[in-house]
Amino acid sequence: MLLKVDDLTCQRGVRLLFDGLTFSLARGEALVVTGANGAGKSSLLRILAGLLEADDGEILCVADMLYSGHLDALKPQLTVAENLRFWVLSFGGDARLCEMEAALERFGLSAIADLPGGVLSAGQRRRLALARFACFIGAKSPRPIWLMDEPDAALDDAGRAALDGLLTDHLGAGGAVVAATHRALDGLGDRAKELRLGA
Amino acid sequence: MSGFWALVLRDIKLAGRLGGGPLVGLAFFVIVVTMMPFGVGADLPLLARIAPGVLWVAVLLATLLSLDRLFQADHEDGSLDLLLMAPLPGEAVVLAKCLAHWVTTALPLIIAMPAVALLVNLDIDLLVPLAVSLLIGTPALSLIGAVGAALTVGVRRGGLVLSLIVLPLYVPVLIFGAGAAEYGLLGAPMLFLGAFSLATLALAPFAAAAALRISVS
Repeated sequence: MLLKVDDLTCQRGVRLLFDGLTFSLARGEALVVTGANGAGKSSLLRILAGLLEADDGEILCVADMLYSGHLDALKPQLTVAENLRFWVLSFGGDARLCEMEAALERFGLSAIADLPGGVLSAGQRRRLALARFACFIGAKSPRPIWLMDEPDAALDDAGRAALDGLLTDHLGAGGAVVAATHRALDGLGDRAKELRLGA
Repeated sequence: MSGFWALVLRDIKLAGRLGGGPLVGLAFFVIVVTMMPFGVGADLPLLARIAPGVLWVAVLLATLLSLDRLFQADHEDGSLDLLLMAPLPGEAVVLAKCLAHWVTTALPLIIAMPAVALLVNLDIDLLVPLAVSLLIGTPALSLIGAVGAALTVGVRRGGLVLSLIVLPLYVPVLIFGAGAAEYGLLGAPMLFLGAFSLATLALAPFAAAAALRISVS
């Protein structure tokens, strides 16, 4: 078991987002969090990431997490490669050139590796944010649990295909994924459990 | 390379690429000091007497200029969330950002200070003690500023609030810093300034990291 959540409750202001949420995630498993806007998907991910306090409940986590929110955490003044290298180093990943080149190649960013982040389109920025995850694939990586908030936002078909391939590889290598999304992610396969919030 | 040094180098690189970055603070420092003789008049003995205080105030204000962006940019683009969940403790994140802020803001001012000091007729014998007092005291400005910047990171137009929080806390640094130049390298003000800087080094990262955690939640 990589992640176990027990009786989690979150209230924002006077609004109760969720109450008594319980689930667990083993190696190679994924949880798809769905629900309408404002249902609490992002709040759940932020709680799991330790960025937000739950009002009640317990989270037991035996491995480190990698998180990606709505914002891409990219610096417009740094190049694509510099942005990627910084985050890989910060999260204790493998910052060898070959690993980074492979991650950029996977998302079709090799040709623009030396361009500043400020000139990227929204889709390219999202691809670069996802390229971070490509340096942490599998259960043996320093960050085997991935928390992804709408990872397919702004992606075109090729970007979605790259994301699906990334998720498949990660789950196949024993990693775990919690993804908040409005659309089905094919890369999560049949083992993905669904958690609907606000229902 | 560790996460700490990766963050320090990233922030130094960003400051260098932000359209002038450190040069803006330096230009502000020079302008403030240059204006002083216009306000005080051409009374050279008076200028020499107030020179250490004038230079310290100018350094303090120039340091304050860039403080509101210390965490704001990272907060706006989502980097702060990731920094706070990275293996590096929040306190070390604050320390790394303060070090980069000091290198890109205070260090250029200290290097330029001997030349700028001519404008206010600083006694040549005070040059070394003043430079040493700036080297010892300016890290405290970045560290205290980090607490204010962390408290106001989510506040719209937080720069003004930041100044109101931080400026009163700068008073001891200013008193000991300006005094240190007059009383020499081993005078009591220099020792108090060193003690104050060490105290901020020990306490400010914890306060700023706690404020950041509250701000992102």
